Amino acid sequence: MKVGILGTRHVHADGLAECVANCGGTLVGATERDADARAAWTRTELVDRDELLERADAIIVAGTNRERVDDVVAATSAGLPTLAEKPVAADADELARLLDEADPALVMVALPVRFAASLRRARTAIAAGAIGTPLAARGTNHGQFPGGWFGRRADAGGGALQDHVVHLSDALCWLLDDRITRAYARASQVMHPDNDVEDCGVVTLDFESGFFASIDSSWSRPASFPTWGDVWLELVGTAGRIRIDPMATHLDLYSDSAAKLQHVGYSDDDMTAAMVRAFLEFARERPTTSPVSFAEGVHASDVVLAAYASVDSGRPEPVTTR
Amino acid sequence: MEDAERPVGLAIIGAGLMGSQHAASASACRDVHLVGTWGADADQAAQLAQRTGCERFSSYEQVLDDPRVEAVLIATPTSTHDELALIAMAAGRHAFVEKPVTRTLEDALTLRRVARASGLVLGVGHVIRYFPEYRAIRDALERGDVGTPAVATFGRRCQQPDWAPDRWHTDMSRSGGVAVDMLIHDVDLVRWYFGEPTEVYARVVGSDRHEGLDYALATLTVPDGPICHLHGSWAEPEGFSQSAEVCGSDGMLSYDSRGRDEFSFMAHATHDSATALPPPPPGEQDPFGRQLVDFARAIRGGAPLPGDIDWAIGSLRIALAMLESNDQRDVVPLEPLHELFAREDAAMATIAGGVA
Repeated sequence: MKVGILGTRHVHADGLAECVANCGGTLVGATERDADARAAWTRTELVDRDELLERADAIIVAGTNRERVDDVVAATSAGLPTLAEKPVAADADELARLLDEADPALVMVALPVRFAASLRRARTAIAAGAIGTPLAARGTNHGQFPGGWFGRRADAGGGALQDHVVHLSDALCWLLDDRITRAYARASQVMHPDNDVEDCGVVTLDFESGFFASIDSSWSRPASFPTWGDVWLELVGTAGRIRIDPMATHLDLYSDSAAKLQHVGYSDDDMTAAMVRAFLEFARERPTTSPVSFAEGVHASDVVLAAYASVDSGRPEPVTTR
Repeated sequence: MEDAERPVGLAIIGAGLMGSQHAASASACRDVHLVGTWGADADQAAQLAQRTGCERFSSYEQVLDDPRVEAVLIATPTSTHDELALIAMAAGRHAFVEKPVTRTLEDALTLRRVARASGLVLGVGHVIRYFPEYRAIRDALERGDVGTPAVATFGRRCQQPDWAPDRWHTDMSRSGGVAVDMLIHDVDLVRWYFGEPTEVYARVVGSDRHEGLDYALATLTVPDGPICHLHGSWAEPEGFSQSAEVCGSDGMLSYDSRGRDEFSFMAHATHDSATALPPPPPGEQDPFGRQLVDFARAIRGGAPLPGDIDWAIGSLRIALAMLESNDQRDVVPLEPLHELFAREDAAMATIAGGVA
């Protein structure tokens, strides 16, 4: 499977490319407009988009949020299975264009959390009735500020809510076979005053079933934090409680050269690799829906748009139903 | 002995979980003298009296007939606090009421009026500020250790409440569920650290639907403060834990009670763990004991109580707003607290003027 990368400026781009190489795919090139990013990219040669769409059997879209829809539309118009970084669109206008112009059947959305072994185990357990009727959940997807364009509205479309809410909102929908109906969110920008997006955000979500959950998606981990952040989820039901912490498996490294505590992960469960393997299989087999469907990615973005509407109005806001 | 130094004669009303906690603390506290206990559950009260070597009263009347009893500590189901406190104050006794002070705001305002008119001390068990971990967080915030706070998370969890024989916690009209009964501590922290919230949004399961299981998530808006998110669980099979995290412009401060025991004991599988370990004596740092000392000193003319009725009302109305927000599925705005009290004081002055 020959894989091309459209845009390299998402923090995940390099990791996705590495996974492709490790999972039996062949990297056949990348596109990048930004001069600094072109200089920094060493994994493949850089070519123009039309040429790459000719060369590749499948595409990974990993540029800025603002570039995403244009790249996804180009890749699916060329008939190529496409793994699109999240969120699928930078804002409501971009999302409208995506819905108009992209081929949904070719899109898989890069939401790796559901590929973690702990999440898969949770879904099986919930389906088997281990927690009875699910009632409520609380999750955190904290991060350090990713830096660069993530702090600029023009490139990112939003800050911490935009960057991180989708991972756990999608994971909850997938775990429960449920959809989100309303969002209430608060946001603040205190930590990185030079940005023009929020760096902290907490959202409370209502689901169709009556289930509710909150997600703290803040870029609140300081530079001195031992790792980039966390993914953590607690679900309670009438019969039990599940707690999910895919990053719990780590050593503590006290290194004088780093002058801070560091986490050294030791899990052999790599959710990103599992997601890339699923994408390569999707690209080969071409089933009617991808493992993380276009509709699911759009729903995740609709949740974020409702969260931003709530930040503006100060009240809970409905999630668009499509 | 000078009267100002004489221990305050105390009766504990309610011999359940919190009554027992207070009795143990009172037994070790030099500022109070535990005269006796009374509870609706006579067996429970008898056992507590025996454990602490105090008297078991046979009725609330008998408690209030006893001249040694200067103050009552009320640790009964929340919805009964107001009546028991009113009776005590009518009998000229100081009162200390477990938190939440009452089940409704109206009842709390009534207690405030009666306490003010009587001049008696009315304390409320807002004990959280006596816990050293939360004082350490306060000190760190005051030093500016995390810079300007941006987002703060507070929570506590335990199993579904099964310790009260009549399971009153499972009745929302008696307990208010986990939001009112437990998260009121975290409301205290938000107010203590950052100031008065102006808005509340919350989602709550409610303890009356699934045999006491409850789960509450609340977001409080504090002007010029961080985003404040609270989580309370009566659905945690592991047992009690509490946690706090404040993230700011210069760092983050993180606390979780799990795994932070200075002393721990477990019996080997071959031995019975129930009998082996003597209970610890309440120490100098016992938060409940220190709270009792402040109550006793307020009675003897010392400093005003940190957990007074005004503070209690300020926290109760926020906890109740969580339930209201959940019912309405909307944000609940909070009236400025000083306006609420100004209205109350004006009403009191009118009544007093009418009487005069």
